[in-house]
Amino acid sequence: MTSAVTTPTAAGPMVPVPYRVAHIHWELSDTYTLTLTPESGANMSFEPGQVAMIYILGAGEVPISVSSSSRRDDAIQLTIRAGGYVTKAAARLAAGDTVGIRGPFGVPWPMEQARGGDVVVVAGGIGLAPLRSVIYEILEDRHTFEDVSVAYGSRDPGFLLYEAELHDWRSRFDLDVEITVDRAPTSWRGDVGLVTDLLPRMEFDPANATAMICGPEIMMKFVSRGLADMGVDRERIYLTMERNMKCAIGLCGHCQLGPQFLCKDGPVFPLPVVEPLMEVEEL
Amino acid sequence: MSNDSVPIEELATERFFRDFDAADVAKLAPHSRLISYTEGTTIFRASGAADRFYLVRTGRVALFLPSLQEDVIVQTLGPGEALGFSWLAPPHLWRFSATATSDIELIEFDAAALRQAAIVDRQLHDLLMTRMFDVVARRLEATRMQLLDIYSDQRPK
Repeated sequence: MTSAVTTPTAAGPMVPVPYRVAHIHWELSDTYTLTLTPESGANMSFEPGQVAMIYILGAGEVPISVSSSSRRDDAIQLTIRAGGYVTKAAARLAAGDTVGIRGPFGVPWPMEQARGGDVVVVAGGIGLAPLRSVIYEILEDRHTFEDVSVAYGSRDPGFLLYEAELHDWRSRFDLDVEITVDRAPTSWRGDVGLVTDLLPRMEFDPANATAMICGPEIMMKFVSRGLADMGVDRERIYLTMERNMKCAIGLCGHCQLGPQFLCKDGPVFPLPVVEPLMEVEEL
Repeated sequence: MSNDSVPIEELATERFFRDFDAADVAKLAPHSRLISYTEGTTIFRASGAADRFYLVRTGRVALFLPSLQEDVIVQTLGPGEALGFSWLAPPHLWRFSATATSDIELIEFDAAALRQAAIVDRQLHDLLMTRMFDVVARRLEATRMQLLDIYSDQRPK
């Protein structure tokens, strides 16, 4: 299991660092990407899959997976769905506004373990956001990975996150990107059906593959089962979990999932760790 | 389009026949042929006679529900997947329509001949029904998942 990489700021992990909103881009009608630049000039150093706590003045703080490339040294990007009080407040931010950022926190995706083998990235809905930094990382060092497959499931063709980037990735010869939606009009030329249906259509060697999955828990359950049935080592199937995170340093217990603290033991876990927990009702 | 049946060794490589031995595949091979359609071709229409069963060799097929307003695609099928189970039981009428969304190649079976072969051979019947049950169960599972609307947190652009 990859160990947690927590890089507290000089003032300590509980002290937010001021970042300025450089840009807000609406991905869907309720989902936006904030581009944030550090006021000090020193950007957060993170690894794909790690979480930042974003503090909105007067509203509160929420955990968001960083969705930008970890190689960027000028800014971080957070893709957020305006669902609760804080995330709706963040949606009202404008360029030039200041927010507080803590982090990064948590265990990243197993990029080093994945190098040298095939990679299968499976995302559902807004679950593509925590995996976007994985795709960026792979593209930065494409030659260090073998076959790379990306499967993305969404509700319908009007709900595709990062649609322009999906088009770019699909046009590359060194990425196999498959997209499916739950329903579509006949004008849609792509796939319709479960994201699990895409797996047998993708070219990867199960014996040599690392899988990274993010989406609704029920989707992750079916996808991980499908990958394991195809022969992917369960220890090499990784999922990222979502629970309400508060302190982000393993003290408060808000993000506890059974014996695991998502903020320090996760949010990325190998399947054998979280599979039994996903079977527990109301956990 | 050929009227020649598909060679046994070629049929045996299809995922659908993974649990069949060569002798069982040989019983079905005479009822098969390879066909191809260009993108946009309607393969069958809802309410039409379900007298064929298909395996997708290459390309994509969309299953859709015709509607007075806008046709809705309920599932797409790709290489290795079975197309059509309405031929299994009366009234042998297609429930959905199917269109080629790319140039495609299909293995087509004569459904009446398959049913007859299964009637006279109990082992073949059990193999065929087990595989078709798996196809139907997967479609049911997919339908339930789609009904759950697991991405309902999302809102359109």
